[in-house]
Amino acid sequence: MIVPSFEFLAFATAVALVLGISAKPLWRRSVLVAANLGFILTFTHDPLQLAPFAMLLVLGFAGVKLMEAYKRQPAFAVLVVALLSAFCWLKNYSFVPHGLFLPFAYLTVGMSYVFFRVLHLVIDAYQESLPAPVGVFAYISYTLNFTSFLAGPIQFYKDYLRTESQQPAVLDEPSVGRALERIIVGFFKVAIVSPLLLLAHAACVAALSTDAPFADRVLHAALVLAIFPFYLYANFSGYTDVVIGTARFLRLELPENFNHPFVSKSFIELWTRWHITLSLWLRTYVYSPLLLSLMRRFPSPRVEPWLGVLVYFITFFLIGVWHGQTAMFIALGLLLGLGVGANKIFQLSMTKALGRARYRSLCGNPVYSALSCGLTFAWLGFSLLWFWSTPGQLGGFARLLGPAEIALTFLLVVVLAAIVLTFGEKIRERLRVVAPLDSLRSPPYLRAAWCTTLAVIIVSVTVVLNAPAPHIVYRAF
Amino acid sequence: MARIRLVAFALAVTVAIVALQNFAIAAFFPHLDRLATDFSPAYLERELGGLANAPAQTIILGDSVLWGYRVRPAETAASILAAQGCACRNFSFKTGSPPNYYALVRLFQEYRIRPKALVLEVNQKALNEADPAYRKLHPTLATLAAPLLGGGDRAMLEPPPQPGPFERWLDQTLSPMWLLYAMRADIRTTLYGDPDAVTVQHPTPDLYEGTYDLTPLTEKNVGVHFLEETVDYARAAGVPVIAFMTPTNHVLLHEFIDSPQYRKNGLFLRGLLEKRGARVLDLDTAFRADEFFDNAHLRPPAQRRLAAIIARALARISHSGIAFDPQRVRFQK
Repeated sequence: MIVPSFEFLAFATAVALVLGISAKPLWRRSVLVAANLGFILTFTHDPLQLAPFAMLLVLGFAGVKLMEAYKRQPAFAVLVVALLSAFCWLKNYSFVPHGLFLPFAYLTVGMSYVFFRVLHLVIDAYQESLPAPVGVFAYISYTLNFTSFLAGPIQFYKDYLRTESQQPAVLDEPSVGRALERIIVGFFKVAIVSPLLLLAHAACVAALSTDAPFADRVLHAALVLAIFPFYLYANFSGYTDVVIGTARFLRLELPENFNHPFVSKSFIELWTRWHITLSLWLRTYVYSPLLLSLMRRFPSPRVEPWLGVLVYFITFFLIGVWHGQTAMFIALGLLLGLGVGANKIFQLSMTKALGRARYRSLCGNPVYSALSCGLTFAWLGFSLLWFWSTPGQLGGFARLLGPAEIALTFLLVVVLAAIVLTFGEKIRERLRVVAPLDSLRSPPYLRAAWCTTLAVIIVSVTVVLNAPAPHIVYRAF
Repeated sequence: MARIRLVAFALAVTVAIVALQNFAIAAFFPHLDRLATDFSPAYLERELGGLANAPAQTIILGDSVLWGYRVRPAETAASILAAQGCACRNFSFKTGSPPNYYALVRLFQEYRIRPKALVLEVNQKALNEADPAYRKLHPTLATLAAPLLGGGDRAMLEPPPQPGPFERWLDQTLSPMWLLYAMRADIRTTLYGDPDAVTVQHPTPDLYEGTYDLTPLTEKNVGVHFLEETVDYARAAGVPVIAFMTPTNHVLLHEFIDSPQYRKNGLFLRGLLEKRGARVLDLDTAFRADEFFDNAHLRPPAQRRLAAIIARALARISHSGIAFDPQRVRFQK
């Protein structure tokens, strides 16, 4: 089943109706487990295709139980390595010898997100941070939660348990309205906005040619760089809106994954606003423990800030590598790591040179702030080149533009993004005061009109296109 | 109460947007150069309604050859004729065949449309029982024209495929009130073009095995029957008919069609049509092999030549007022 699609909404509606029969924890968990399994069976009925996924789950559950009973560091290390190896093997990472790959097709959809949940349980079981021992039903309910199975958001176990069985979220009229709005807006982003942006992006890529005049070439290159982050945002945040809204009807609360990422004034801030749950997971299980262990090993205060830079680099390198199985994603990881690393070094140097107060005052300067925003966006767009293009395409762009035009393109994106994003944010703030469409304080009729219009547009476009449900980029990871 | 008011308001907004869409489509949706493959009843009704209120035009009825398979809409013979000033409309479609021609003629009669002339493509391939369009109406024509056909005629045709109950219910409920839904296929074609069948770069004869039937044609053949009816109806209404035998790639299809029976069938059709007052052009061998994409579909230069041939034939119908310049297809309005 594709998410989001009308089938998915119908499925979730049916689950919500059945869940509504009783609020007893056992009933809720049983229905959710059945729904999760039913959802997965929509991808394949073939036991062979489900077996590798099941194996990963079984390994994870055995690991959780082992850590609950036997908290020894060597066993924990072996278990984490085993889980990581199984994941990389099943996801066919290019560094795994190809001869080891399974010789048949099998389900990998949602595997990354399930893996994050499983690893979280194993680590927390080892650290005794789990609220209670994990039973098999709770394990299935959490790891395979169908609302966030495909592409997150990644929720921590205790947060999931709270609304799953302990204290289901209130489903009153305002929350139903907001959930419905969220689904409609998300669907609109995925089904209408993101395909249009993708079309525009493809058109700009096609328009890049040596025959075009210099100005056209630079402008098209700038658009190629700038459109993709917007496309990715519309696609992924739209999906997240739909699943968060859908989960609300099941009285589940999923965490937010985006918070206006394009207003970020630094690359480090960007990752607190973009794919928030992944960043949080990596901060919890990679950044913090790694930094702590390095600080213990090198306890000098002079080295400490540079350890932070190194750990930032490693964490974001891992984010890049996680996105795909090929060398292109290693380059993406390096660029993301370079972005946060350079950002951290710049912050340290500026604080040292200007002092904390003057640096803070500089950050408050509107022009500096706008340019920081533009630079953050441009670096994201530049890094994402390694996300969507092929090595051949990338080489073609490099040959076509040359170093001077690439630099000019980057500069143009910085300036344009600084202007557009700053003014866009100002307009959004004004609109929130005049017509706060995303606020409960706004007039209900205005919200109803807004959502109805979006819904009619979605249905109209769906009717005309008669195309399969929209593609979610992060589904592939 | 407040909740009911809010739901009613949302419904009112929906109705307002749908009304706006209906107005926009009715006012601005273009008349397509050629029908979409799955043209809708709503679009056909709109075209017929427009034609009924317009001065008489030449109507072109054919299959994928005249529809312009593998050429752009502007490159079809009908579009070239129209661009040169001929008041003509192309009602050909990919799965056109004599039963469909007849259904369309009956619809013209229903809408009180009296064409200035009727140009008919006669393709022996469509008179083969194995041809998918031999006894099958396009779903839209089955919806609109089947009730206009006599019981005997209906009995000769295959019943159209029925959509599922939900789809039928949706169609029946939404189509009358929502033009975007009713004309979704035509809108899709306008936006994205008509997807052609799989391109065959180098067609080989074996691809056409069974396509041409050399059974002697008689009036019992379903295609022949509806061809007769089409011409009879047109002639009864005083509409001149120009029928032409579909140009065919004899080099490619040599082993299937270069036989006395094929020629006999051609002569039979010619005699039948001429007896009923149609002017017949035998274009069966009029085009060279390199003018075809495959068995019968013409490349753009051949479409231009076909347009010139049709133009010449139309010019010979005295009342058309067309003067044909062989160097450049030109019409006097």
